[in-house]
Amino acid sequence: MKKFLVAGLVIVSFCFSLGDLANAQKWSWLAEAAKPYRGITIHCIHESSQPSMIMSEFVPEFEKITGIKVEMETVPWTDVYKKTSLDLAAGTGVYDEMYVEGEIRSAFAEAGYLEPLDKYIANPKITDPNLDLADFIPECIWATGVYPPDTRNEFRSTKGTLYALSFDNAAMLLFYRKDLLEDPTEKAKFKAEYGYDLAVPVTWDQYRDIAEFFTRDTDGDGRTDLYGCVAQMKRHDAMTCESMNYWYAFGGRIFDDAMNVALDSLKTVEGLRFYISLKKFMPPGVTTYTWDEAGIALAQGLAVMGPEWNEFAPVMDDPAKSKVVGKIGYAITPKKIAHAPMGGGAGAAISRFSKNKEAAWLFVQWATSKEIQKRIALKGCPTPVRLSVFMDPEVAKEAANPQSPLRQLPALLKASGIRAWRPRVPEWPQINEIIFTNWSDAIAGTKTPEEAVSAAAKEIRRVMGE
Amino acid sequence: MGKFKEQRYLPYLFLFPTLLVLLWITIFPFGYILYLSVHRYYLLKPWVPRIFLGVKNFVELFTDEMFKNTIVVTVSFTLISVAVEFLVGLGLALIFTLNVKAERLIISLLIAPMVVAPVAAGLLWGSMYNAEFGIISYFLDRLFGVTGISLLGDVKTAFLSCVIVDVWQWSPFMFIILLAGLKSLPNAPFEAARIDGASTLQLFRYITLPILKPIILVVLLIRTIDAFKTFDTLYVLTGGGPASTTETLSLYTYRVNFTYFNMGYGAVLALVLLIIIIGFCVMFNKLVSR
Repeated sequence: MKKFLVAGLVIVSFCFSLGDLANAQKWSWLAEAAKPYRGITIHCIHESSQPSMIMSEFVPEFEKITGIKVEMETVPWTDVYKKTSLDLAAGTGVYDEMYVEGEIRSAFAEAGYLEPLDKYIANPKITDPNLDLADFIPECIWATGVYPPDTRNEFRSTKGTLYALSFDNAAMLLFYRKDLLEDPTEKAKFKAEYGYDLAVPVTWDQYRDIAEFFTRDTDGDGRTDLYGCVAQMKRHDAMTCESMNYWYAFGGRIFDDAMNVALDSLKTVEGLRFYISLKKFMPPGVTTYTWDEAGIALAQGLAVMGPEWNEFAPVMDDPAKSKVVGKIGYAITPKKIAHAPMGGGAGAAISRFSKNKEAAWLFVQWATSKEIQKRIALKGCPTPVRLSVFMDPEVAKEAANPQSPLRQLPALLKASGIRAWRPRVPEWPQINEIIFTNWSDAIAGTKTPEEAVSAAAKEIRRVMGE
Repeated sequence: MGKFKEQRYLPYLFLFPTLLVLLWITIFPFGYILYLSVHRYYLLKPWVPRIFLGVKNFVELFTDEMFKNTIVVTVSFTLISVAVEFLVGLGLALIFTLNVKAERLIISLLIAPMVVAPVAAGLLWGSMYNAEFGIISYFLDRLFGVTGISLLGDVKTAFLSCVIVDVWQWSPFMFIILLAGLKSLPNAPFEAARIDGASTLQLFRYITLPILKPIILVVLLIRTIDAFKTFDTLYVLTGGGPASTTETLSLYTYRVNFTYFNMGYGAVLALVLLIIIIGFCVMFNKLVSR
């Protein structure tokens, strides 16, 4: 009896260690490279959004393989921005590895706060032989990794110095209630009222009609409880990005190709006016909404559609948070002259003041590796930055599953290459502020769209001229 | 002889740690702000030279539309909040001069709002004001049929909604101090006046108020300075509000310093705030000593 028990235990532990062996095999380069850095502690700071939160769950594995201790901080976006800015400006070197969003990367790189990665990549002792830089989606590397970006050759050129490896691939996509848009009774009523078929809106005019159609009182108590659409109209960074889906599609731009301020055009005014005109089809609290509240409105079935960051997909399918599990569909945001789904995302970068740059570099590679990116995706987070993850058969299977959050991936792929980007200039934080304060005035009615646009353009010119 | 010398230096020795802390926390930062306010300094753009601008930074105040707006907002917020808090506090204090049952218990309940951290108060009221799920919106709907209104998101209501939160939190402060003052009034003048045939209103106007004057002025000063500086509650409730309707000077200063990282102009704004508050103190000082 005892012999069988012992034999059984031996076999079971052998199987476990096989799994460990396989794992160790994958990460043998990391274990080897980390040998001189065992026992070091590195401090990392990330945004408390889905991709980083999921990655944090895997951090103990990194610690086990490398013997490097990781202090991971996940905080809301504005706090990441403030904490990293202050740390870098003061040169205190509190953070070794940081989550750096594309626009902020420009400011930091220009100021010389980030470590250029080339010399680390060239060092085979601390670099993954399977790093495969070409596997990163070029658009993502351009957006979050390289500085100065070639703003004219928007998506193809990756010239410039590499300061970060892309970590998450963000885009604003149209989240819509598939069940409502495909419902036969709704389709019949819509056709009768508007004269064309109810379908996923391709143009902003169709979006407007559908929003109007669905804003209604569903339980007959005299109060509107379903709203056709939702936006993010709080006087906040969220509004700048979200509104750009609309007025960029109308042809508005912040800068033209020669990097002159081109905000004050009729197209921007038209786009802004259209954006404001949709407000009556939105929940009344929309002027206090950022991406979180808009996500809640969609997940609670309060709004039928709206542009939202793709990383909110898992929330839509989480029964603890959502009343519309499996009912949300994804598409690229509508067009007027052209489609302009907003792009975003961030990279993992190393602080120039870090005292453990090599150890931080190991972490950066690990977090953006094919393996970890794939596992983040398989946990339901549709933000992979690597082409190999998109092509992976397991991921592809989930993408075809109508119940999985990864069903969003085809829309994300469609958006890639046509995304609109916030200008990658160091002055972006101020430009951002100027835009959302003026837009907030226009939404509240204290300025007309024309006044808001020209006031914003004047301010931005002043900022850029300094 | 040696012992005598030591005694002379002993007081300074005792003061030394406190002076050190004072220097570190107050005097040095103040000096640094003065330095910053006359230079151009962008924290995130170290390549822009930190040149001496002298008075130019201050001149910018006059052309800054947002600054003028914040002054209007801050002054209105302070005036309205303090006035309402004073009236509510005084009213409650007068009620409690009569013998109220379970006085201690009721007073402790009334003081509760003061004990709540301003950020918590902001979050609490923010939830209640929430247009879709907030309890205030719910009752507005059921009791008054007012739908589709977002109290914090609407330009017309956001400011007053914030004032209400401030009044809720700080009226108790006025209340306890005024109550203490009322309870410590000497009896003699009142008896004398009553013998002379004074009415309740005359008693209040000619005896209570004059005797209370120092306490009233102090409590108004403290509250005015605090209301002027209000940051946490407003930041959490509206972040500056729909279309800058709740953007006070402290919020604006924070924004210029920690979002734009424009340290030069930010220091100027901080100085303005300081000067205004010192102005209040001087003014009240004159009133009290009269």
